[in-house]
Amino acid sequence: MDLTFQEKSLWVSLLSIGGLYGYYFFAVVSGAQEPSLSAMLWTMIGIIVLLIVVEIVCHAVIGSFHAPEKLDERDRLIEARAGKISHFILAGGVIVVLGRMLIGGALQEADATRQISAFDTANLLLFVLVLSELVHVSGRIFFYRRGF
Amino acid sequence: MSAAESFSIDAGSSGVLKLGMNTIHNRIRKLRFDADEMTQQELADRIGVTRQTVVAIEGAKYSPSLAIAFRIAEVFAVPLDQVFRYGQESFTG
Repeated sequence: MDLTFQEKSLWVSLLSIGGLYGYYFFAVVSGAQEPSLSAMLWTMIGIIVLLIVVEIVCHAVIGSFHAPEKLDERDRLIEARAGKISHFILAGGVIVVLGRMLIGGALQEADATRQISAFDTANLLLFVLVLSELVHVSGRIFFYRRGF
Repeated sequence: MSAAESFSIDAGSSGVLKLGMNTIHNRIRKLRFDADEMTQQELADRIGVTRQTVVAIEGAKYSPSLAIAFRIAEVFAVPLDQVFRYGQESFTG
């Protein structure tokens, strides 16, 4: 499959974001991640640093085979269309999490066992953010492949 | 060469982009061939887009902006309607 610099760059982002955050969410769900905001903060810092390193190294390797191309009107249109889809996912996800917080807060007044922790809320918001970014990147790959 | 003659090209050498009931036809491949077999990369460099965008335009998978359409016509020194045609009528007609 003949991939352009843009597509290779997007694949690097998709795999690194999906891999690192996938591992993190697996740790959260399986209970391996300490359920505290301070632990989450340090894990996030570690993931962000790792993401930057992976992206720099991979782009340097890709750049040694392909000269990066200047983006043109079609690239910007693809970016905008994928961004629009990911925006809906981000907005929808935030509304769902917000609704869960508000409804959960109202229920909590009647039943304290229904309390939603700040750790859970932070992870839900992070999940929505990561999901929207994955859709943004994979949407661009899809539009490049399908033709646009 | 008359306009009618200039549109008489093989169906296989023109791209067709369907937009609802109407379509956009182009004959960039034919024009490149006639211009000393200009490569897609050469055309891309001259109109300021990537080769992938030229591939997409030529294959009728992407409808370019008016500015790019005019630049393509300028490169081949032909009127715009000899590069693109909108509607039911194709270049083969």
